[in-house]
Amino acid sequence: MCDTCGCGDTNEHSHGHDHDHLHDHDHSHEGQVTIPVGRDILDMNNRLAERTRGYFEARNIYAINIMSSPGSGKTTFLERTLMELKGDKNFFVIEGDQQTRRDADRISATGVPVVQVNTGSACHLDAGMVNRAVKDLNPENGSVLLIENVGNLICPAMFDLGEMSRIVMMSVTEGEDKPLKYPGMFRTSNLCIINKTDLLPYVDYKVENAVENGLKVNGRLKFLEVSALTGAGMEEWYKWLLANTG
Amino acid sequence: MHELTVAENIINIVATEAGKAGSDMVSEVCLEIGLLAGIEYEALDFALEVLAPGTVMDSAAITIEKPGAAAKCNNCGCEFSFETFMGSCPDCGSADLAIVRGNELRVKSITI
Repeated sequence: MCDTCGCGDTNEHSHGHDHDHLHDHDHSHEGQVTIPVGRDILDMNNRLAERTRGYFEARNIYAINIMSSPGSGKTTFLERTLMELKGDKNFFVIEGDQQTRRDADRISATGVPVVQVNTGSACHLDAGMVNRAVKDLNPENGSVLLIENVGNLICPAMFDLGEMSRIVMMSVTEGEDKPLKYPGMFRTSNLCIINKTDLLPYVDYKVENAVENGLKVNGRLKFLEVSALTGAGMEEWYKWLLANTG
Repeated sequence: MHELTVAENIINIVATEAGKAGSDMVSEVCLEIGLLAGIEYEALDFALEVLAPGTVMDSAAITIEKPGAAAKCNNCGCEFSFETFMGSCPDCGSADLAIVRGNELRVKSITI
């Protein structure tokens, strides 16, 4: 069964017996006790994320969680970044996809160490997956860890991975109203990369409208316009990256 | 989309807390899930219906408190409520805001 939406034809929670109540409920409920709990439902994820974050801090590793819709160009963006900056910084990459090693193979071709996480039926990376991947990857002290999340503008926003920054990418082919439709993702991000600006002459997308929509959701969101394909605007992103990662 | 994961976590927390109190069945579960928590309430209801049978929550009545969204301006200190879009402070225009209500995603209490 899918971990997230419950679709599928198997039911993990069938126990081969029924749950009829053999007693009636005519009795009073005076003996009942209400116990305050106050526990966060994502408590386990959040605690593990904090542990991973502590590990990063101790080793001066700067981790960035990169999120977007599928196909907005995250992997191409990372490939160019790694090819152009790998002489200046030590990079490590975690690739999240539901299936295949295709993205990890593309990153591996740049010579940067990478671990692929296949989330299987889940539509997002969680703190446990990243914690295990970090142990496999063993990033060097002082390095930058780029985490490419599963392409999805909803679920990844809920799961802290232990990152220091969150980047949301939108491409100009997706529509200016993405921030309004998926506010959770844009509200929790620090930087919005608008990608595929080389296609602006061919699509009905005004960068200023997209920025205005993004600011309605999160007034502190910063924006950068790039074309990962042609390299236009990438210098500003490199400045941001180098300024934030020291 | 992720409501099934959330429902599983709820059942695990309820089972742990009920177990601490020496019970393996709860009659009521009160959740606190804010409007900004990223939860589709109907999808969560469905996920709990699917997962609860055979668990500590098998016969539990579930209530969900749904706090609305509010933010505090870090510049002028005013607090204001909003629906979906936080934007900027209605008083001073600052974008330096902190969410103070609406992100809740908690098991508030159980009744055994």
